[in-house]
Amino acid sequence: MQGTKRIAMSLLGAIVLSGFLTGCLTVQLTEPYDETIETELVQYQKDTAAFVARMAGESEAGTEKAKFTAPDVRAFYATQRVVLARLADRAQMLDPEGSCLPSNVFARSMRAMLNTATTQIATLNGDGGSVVLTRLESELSALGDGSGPIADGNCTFVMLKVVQANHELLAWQHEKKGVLTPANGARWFALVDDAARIAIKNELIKKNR
Amino acid sequence: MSVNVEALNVNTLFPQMVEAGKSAAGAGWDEIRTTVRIELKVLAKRLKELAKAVASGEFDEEDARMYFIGIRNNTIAAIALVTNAVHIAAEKIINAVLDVIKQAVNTALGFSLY
Repeated sequence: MQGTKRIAMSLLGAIVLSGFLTGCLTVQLTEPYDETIETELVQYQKDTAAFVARMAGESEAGTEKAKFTAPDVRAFYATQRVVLARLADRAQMLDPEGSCLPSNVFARSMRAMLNTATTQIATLNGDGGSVVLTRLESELSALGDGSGPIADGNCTFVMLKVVQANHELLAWQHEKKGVLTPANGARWFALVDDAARIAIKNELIKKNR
Repeated sequence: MSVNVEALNVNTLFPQMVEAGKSAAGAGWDEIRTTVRIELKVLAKRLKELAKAVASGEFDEEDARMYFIGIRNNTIAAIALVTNAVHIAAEKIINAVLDVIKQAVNTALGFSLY
């Protein structure tokens, strides 16, 4: 009797499991890998690095081609803007209802980051470190608790929006200064490069899941 | 139809599930730890560069504010990256455990159900 009951229970368990497993043999908790996003981001990163290097050379040579108003320069920013917008749309469509993290997590993480950086910044000569830290703290407060629309949506979409935003910062700095010198170009390109690298890494992690 | 009940024995199955989950988690968590370390280091480096540029007068207040927004953006991206890495590590654990269950069910039934 006991043996029959065990067999019946095991069969029931097997049936429940088969129902559970059918159609969902593998669980996926985040957006799928997208080859187009990976390939085009790598291309964007290369093109932007080449552009900034070219701008550095042109500005040192004092040519008109270094200026933000030069047709090639404007075309570069505009073309890449279109590429990034298309990739961001694509990323959003990977999971249109997806949500990466609550916005207060970002604000809390930023504060932790500032604390981590305190030691490094404090090593600056004079009291420059403490002045800058005070300023950063005030900037953080001004940004509020959330991070705005940039943090909305699925994680891949968030990363693509960051690449877009930092691309605009590079263009903004170029327009403000008129030209990108080697030092200035490298400094602002670093923000774009970090953002692109993070988004590419995300695709590689998803690819190897 | 004969069913191999022993294949679904909890005492046998559970350790296999734990082992599968543990081994799937190992690689995933190592990758997350490395990613967090790299990204935090990069962000701290950028903050230091910002501080240097302000201290040397290379950045005016507007530059500093905009550069800081760029760093903030990358912090958001780094957190999103780690979030996805954690989700994928969890996926690997769940799928490894599900695979053990699948094998056990197939063994118990005597044919490949999936």
